[in-house]
Amino acid sequence: MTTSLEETTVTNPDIRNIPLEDRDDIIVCENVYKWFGNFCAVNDVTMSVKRGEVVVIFGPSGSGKSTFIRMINRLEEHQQGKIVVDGIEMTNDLRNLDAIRREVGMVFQQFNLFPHLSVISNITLAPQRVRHLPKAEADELAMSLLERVGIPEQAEKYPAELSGGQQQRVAIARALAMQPEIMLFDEPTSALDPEMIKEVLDVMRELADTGMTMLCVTHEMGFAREVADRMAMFDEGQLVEIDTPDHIFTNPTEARTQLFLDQIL
Amino acid sequence: MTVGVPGWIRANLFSSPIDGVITIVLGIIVALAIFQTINWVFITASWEVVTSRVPLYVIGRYPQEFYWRPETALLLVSVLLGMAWRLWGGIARGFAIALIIVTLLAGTLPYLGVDLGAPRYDSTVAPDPPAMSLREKNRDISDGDRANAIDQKDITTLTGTSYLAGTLDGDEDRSDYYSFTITEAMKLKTILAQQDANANLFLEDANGAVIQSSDNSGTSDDSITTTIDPSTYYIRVDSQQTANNAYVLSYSVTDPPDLLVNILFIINFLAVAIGYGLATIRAIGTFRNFLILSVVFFIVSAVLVIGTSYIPGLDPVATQDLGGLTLNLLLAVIGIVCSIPIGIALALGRRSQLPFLKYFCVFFIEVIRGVPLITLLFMSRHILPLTFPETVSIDELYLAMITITLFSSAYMAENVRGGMAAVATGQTEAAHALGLRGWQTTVLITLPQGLRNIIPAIVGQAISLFKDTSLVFIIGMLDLVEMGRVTIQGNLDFVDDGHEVYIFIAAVFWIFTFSMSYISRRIESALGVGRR
Repeated sequence: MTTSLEETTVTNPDIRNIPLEDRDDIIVCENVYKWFGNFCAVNDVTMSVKRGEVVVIFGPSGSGKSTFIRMINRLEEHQQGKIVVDGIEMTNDLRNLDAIRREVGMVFQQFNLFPHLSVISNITLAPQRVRHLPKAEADELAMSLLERVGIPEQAEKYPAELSGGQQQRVAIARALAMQPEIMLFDEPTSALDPEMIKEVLDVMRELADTGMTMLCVTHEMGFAREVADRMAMFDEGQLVEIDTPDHIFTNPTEARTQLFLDQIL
Repeated sequence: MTVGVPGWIRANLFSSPIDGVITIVLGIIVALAIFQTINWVFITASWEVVTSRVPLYVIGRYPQEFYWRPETALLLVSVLLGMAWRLWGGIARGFAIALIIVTLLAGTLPYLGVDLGAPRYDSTVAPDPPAMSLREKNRDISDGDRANAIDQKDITTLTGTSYLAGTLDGDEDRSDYYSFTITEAMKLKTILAQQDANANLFLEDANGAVIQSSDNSGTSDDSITTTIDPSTYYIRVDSQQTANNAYVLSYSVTDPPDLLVNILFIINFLAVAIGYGLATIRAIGTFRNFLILSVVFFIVSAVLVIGTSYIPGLDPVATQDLGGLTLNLLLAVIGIVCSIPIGIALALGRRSQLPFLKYFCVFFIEVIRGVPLITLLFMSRHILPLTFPETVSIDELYLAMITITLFSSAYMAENVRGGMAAVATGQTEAAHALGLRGWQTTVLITLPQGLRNIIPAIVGQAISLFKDTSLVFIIGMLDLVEMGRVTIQGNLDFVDDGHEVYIFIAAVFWIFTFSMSYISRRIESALGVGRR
């Protein structure tokens, strides 16, 4: 018996058939700034993401792309501008913050699994504690998600006993267990050995097919070309340009984008 | 290539002439030191100061009729040890077997003629010995001439080990008689120490029949140890030479071996077996149950040992009677166990955003850590009561417990804080990203990982605290170290035995602390601290 992501996550595969311009904005950022001391990490970024859209964010290191997506669920606080997630404005109001964090799942470069909890407990923790799901239901949900990411047999193990790719897949399952509308990926494959990158990208690709809204910071240009609806180039805290992969790869508007792509491709 | 033992010796000890000289010189020094040590331990040293007073070192002047209480506590510990044996094997098995051996010896040795002493009524420490009054009879009367053994005078009421000096005229047919009457069964121990005397020692009943005698030849000591029923008895010192006999007679009475006390020791292995058996049952043998049982048994044990006026049959033990190693262990265990929750609370308070709570915790931690424990103990006993109403008085034992717990809590708080700070920030980020609130993140994510980080630090603190408990002497409690000091300073027999006492005490402390650090290392490797 296989369970599909459709049954376990908020999903809307049909949305992929609707043209981007006809969909509503799920994330809206207007003139967002973030400073670390005197260093401006995010500099006047304005962009919006459509429901069900997959946006790949790329750019040189230190360009503010991680900081930017960490502001979407307020792991970093934006200091100026406005961020609205699924109609909820990001303010100091804790209720808004809780509501936004329920909508947004996140996957980290270093997985950040909880080492003292078994794989299944990693996944069931938040559903039980935040969504107050009964344990049996949370376990069922976790097992179906583990099946979906292909490692149900690892449920009782501890994260340290798993390979990097398996850990990252658990991390994705953990984020999905909160049934978010939006998934943020912060360089999800950068800490992985090459042979494990594919298994994680496959899971992400399937997730994109379910109509999940995804913001991915990644340097996997093959994945971007294949899956992304749009690609956003960041440099020195600024959004340099945002356009379809076709456009970015063949005919970027900005010279900086061309320069960066030349360096990594 | 150098091969084998000779090769190794040549390569490592005699690779050059200078190396050779150094090796030989150091070798001689080490050999001499080893020889001296062995010579001292087995020949020179007089271990009677330890072996004749074992109960005092173990549990102080705890009343013998209450011995069943700490022994029951020991049985509870043994059940836990049995469970641990089943659950984790290896290390717990070693400790369980050691405990079984020790308890079997403790329970059977009194019946095998080995006297470990029950010096509860030692004159140096005990205020209330069983009533026994030794009466000096006519001295220098003919052997067996009981009729003439008329009371000369009462010798002061015997309190524990007492001494009397006598001199017998130089006549083989002469004896000194002493008599005493007891009203309950007792164990009598009397030693006839002879300087230049040659005399024998007799214990006779009221009719003159010899119950036991000791006739070591020449000037060697004579001694009699026996259990006697209520009656009147005579101790006779019988001259064996024509020269004058100067002697010292020491005598003490203690309660006879108590069957219950010894049986509770002997059945200890059963408790281990029960624990092992319980743990084989799947539903019971879990780590969680083991922890719950540990806490329950810990509380029960503490109540048993200390006693409480709220439970009939568990009369509180006078603070001055609870001492020895048991006191050290009790204070250390209570200090560490109670300081973990308090330390966590203080650490969380220190991380708190609320200024009042935060600065209260900082103040508490820094003040306590800035003051030596001995000062805190002294203040708790002599200064703190000044702030109480006169009607309120807290027993020294509880003062010591509270002080040591608070002292330990301050250090624990800093350990916990350090452990939590060492948890990767990614952990809190992941928790927040999942929607966990701040306190949920702390309780579910940061704290458990932080505590696991500091297991070595907690054990280090337990070891240090265990040793620090000996400072309670400052408020007049008789822990193991203080008991040793009292023994050598208050007991003429043992005045010169300081080395033996303190080496014994050091060995006891070392065995316990080494065991603790050994267990800690095993737990660390089992939990994979340091691995992610």
